[in-house]
Amino acid sequence: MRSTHTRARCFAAGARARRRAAGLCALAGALAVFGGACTTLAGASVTGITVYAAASLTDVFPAIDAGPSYSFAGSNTLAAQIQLGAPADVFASANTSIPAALYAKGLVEQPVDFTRNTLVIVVPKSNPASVSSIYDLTKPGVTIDIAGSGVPVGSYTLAILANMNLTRAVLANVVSEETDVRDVLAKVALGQVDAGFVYSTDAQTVPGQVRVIKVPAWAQPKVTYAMAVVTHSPNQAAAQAFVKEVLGKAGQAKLASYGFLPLVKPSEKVATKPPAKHRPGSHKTTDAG
Amino acid sequence: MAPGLTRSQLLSCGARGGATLLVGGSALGVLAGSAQGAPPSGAPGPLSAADLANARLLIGAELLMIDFYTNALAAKHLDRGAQADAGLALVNEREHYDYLAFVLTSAGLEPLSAAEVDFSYPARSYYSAASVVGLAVTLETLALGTYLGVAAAGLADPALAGGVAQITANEAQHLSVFSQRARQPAFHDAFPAPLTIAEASDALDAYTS
Repeated sequence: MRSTHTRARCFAAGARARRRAAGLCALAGALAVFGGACTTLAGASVTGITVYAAASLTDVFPAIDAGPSYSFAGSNTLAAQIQLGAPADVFASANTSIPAALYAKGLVEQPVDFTRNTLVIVVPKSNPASVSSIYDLTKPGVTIDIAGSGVPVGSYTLAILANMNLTRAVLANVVSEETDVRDVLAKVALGQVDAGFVYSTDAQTVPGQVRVIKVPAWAQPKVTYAMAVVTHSPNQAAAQAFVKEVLGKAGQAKLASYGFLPLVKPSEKVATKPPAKHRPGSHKTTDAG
Repeated sequence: MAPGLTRSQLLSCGARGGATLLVGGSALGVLAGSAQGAPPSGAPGPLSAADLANARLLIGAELLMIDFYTNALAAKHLDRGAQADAGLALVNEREHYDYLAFVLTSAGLEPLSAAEVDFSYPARSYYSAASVVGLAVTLETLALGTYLGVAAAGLADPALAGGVAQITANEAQHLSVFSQRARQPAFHDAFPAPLTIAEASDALDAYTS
């Protein structure tokens, strides 16, 4: 498991929040220091909770809120730990089925969808296997890394291959399976394999180290993320506040800035005439079309 | 077109042999609505993985065509006749999508929807009637090539093969009509080129993500 935010960092975040919110947050800061959960006021961060989140959220969640303590790993791994009683307050998964299964067992509250993603193929920058299309992954000798089938990104990868009737041909070239998407990305970036399947958002985290190849839109699975408050969390209010923060306007904007997709595709309108040009020295705009 | 062959007879040939209809359909030079033919009734039998993959690819192509004609109509650059043709083509493309979606849902699968696809077009595609008609020719060529490629690769299910043949003929009609509007020969190509599945997929990638 990858934990980028320690409890000490959580306390530090609490301290920062105290400074920001001065007297009003003094009580909240004290609660954080003593290990209790708090939600700070005036848009400040949520502290004192532990968020278990899919590895693909490693960069964006701390950017949304640096307050919580985070554990990032494959969603299936995190779910298994929650089932064993791990002290998580919020669970954010890269699919909807794992949170739904935990909800059915009474381990989490009703999950809510909060973002979408797509898959891409990444190849090392040198592209030693000359991969330019998903169909090139069927060529003999190409080495491919994927996530295990229990990991959401692994199951999505298998769905793509099934959608394109490439399962047998591509899996014949798979040389390694990983426990989360970041491990697939790392192996490709290091040139240990010729190609791998990752989320588009992960590919963006290593600019210059990999080349990105589209997975056809017609073969993309529905990649929807869901999150839920853990039922046994002693910090229900703070956990709910974090969920609300991710679903809120600022949280959604931050997700978008990291390449995640909104739950509902915004309406598209094509340009039907050239953009209006501004004439120097004039306050009027003119329609060139 | 053979003397004495009615339009409905011609369309009915689609289920038996798309190739004949391709040429005949192009010669019609006008777009019909949808009253004279119907896709194969009933769901296809259990489909192979290859047939399902081909149906998905074709759905991707149809979603692109629907989006294109929707935009083309909204742009309102076409003259009255071309606007009417685009409207009828849009009706056809929606019917194609509905048929292919039915094929997938009958197999217990969820078809791709427009809400899941981002469409993009070259700059200035919708700035004028000429650019819209030019893009229509480009995209109909892509659609026809995709259908021909699927047909050439071979569909295992006869009902699906019949439906695809009918749609192929209709896409050829679209291409013929918009080729004429682009001042190109309506039927200059005796053997329109099929695209391999990979070529068709890569071509779709230029417009969809």
